Amino acid sequence: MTVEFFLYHAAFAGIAVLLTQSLNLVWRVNRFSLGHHGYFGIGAYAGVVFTRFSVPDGKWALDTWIDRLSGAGLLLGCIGSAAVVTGFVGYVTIRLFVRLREDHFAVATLVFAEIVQNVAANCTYVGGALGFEAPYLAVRNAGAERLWYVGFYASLGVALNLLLYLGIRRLDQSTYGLYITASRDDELAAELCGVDVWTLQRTVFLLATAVAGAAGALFLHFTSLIVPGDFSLINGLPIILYVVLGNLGPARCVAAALGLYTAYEIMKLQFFGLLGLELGRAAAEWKEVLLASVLIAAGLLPALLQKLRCPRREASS
Amino acid sequence: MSYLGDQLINGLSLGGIYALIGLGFAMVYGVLRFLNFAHSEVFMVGTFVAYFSLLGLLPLLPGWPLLVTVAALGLAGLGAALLAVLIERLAYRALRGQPKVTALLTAIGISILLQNLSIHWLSAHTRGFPRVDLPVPPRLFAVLVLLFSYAVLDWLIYRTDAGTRMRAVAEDPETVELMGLNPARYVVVAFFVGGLFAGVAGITWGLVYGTVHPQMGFYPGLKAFIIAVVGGVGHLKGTFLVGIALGVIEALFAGYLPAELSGYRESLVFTLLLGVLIWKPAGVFGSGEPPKV
Repeated sequence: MTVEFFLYHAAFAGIAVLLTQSLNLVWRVNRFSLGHHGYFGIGAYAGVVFTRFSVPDGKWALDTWIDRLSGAGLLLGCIGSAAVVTGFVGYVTIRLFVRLREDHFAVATLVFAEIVQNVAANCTYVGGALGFEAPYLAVRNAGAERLWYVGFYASLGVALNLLLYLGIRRLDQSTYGLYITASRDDELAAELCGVDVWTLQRTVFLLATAVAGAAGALFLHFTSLIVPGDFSLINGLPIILYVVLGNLGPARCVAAALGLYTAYEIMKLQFFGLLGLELGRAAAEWKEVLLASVLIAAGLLPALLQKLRCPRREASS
Repeated sequence: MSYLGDQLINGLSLGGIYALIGLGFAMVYGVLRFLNFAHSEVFMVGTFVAYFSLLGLLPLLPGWPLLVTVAALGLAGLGAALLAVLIERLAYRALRGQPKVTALLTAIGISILLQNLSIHWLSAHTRGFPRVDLPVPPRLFAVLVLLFSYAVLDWLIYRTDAGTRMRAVAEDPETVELMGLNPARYVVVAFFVGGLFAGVAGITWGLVYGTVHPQMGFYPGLKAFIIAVVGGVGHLKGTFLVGIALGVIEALFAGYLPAELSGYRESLVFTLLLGVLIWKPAGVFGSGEPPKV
């Protein structure tokens, strides 16, 4: 296991944690979106359009320090513009879905994410079904530079996550944090106390989708090749799982994301001799089954435990 | 027949399949107020049961295609219904009284689990559905099966005692329990009948489109899911009509969209469904009151 391997996974985990933190924020205002991967996709494809405009020939020279610095600036511009575009789309969709509640809202967002994926697969300007290959903007992912490449994206991911985490913590300590808690506990009571729940939900959704968009642009330039399948439900499901396991706590969901991501990657590693080899292969092969089983267990276990604790009350309800 | 006539028959058969799957969603929603996402996979498993039944029965009874198809239809319906009841018993029953979103997430988990277990056991590749020489074209057969199934359901729900009790459970489970009935039994009936229809939809899909694969349930399931909502969840007639309408619209899209836009067909259909959902969240036929079976 090398430093490069560690940093590579740190960058991926960074993107996953960005998505987890933002989805967690959405769920905390009682908007159970299942289409966060769609906004992640919009961010990535907004990044594709930005990249195509700013680097029309698809190649960015990385000869001098100026090239590299301007490339890094371009990357930040790409992430920023993806966040703005996705935030705008998020705002429009939440306004459209205003009357949809709970499971209907969940389904509407899920369908929206499917539309994004289908449009991306057919639109040749953003690469279509074959995908889009992004040029290296600041560091090259080749030879001796590879370590710098993964390190650069890992630190970018960590920096963005830290900013977001501190921002959310600051938000929680403010009056708006109390509003979020109040509206989560009881929307009607919060409204009666003067909290504008709908504006709160809209604003939180805008911010969270903007973060998902930024994560999408980061993903585009880190992997340097995206295909529409990257933004499918099965790839968005781990994020939902992290939020469920984090039980809507801002720190807990980050811990759940990091813990589960690391646990899965350790399972995939061939650590334990012959047995480990089999386990590693099985973990990769049965990833979706494993994911679904954990999701089912996360839903069923609390209900079963509750039943064990008070079987009589459960039977009568 | 004219091109438009062809497209309309296509649309009716496709819409019929959507409506049959959608009715399963609507029935379960009627009694439990919960969207059973795993229903798409019940449909997929139903299609596979039909596929294997036809493969096994056709060589045994070579001169009786209609009999074999009806037998496969029965087996597919039964297989899917048993799976639906099994899912209810093992997973959903424990989730009564839990938040809707917990149940929805568990249902998505079950759907992904069934889909991927099927990929592991049956491989992900698309298989050709066995060809059966029916006395009528497959699309017409699909339309007939749909009409028959809907007539049976209508009779079951509105003309039998069990149907009346089920409607009562949908209306008010607590009162039904006070009257000495066990609501859980009617929940099982809703899952059984919903599964049965999903299985019938499965064999019809196989006969009309000629293919079967483990991921086939996702898109039809998602559409049927919104059909049930747009039709006014729990309103069976609404689900039926919206399903047919969607099938016809989709067939017209397929027939008349220019070639360069044909890839966007699914997006257009989903956008249309989302549009109706946004326009009428309680469903086109919903009255805004709690839905009933």
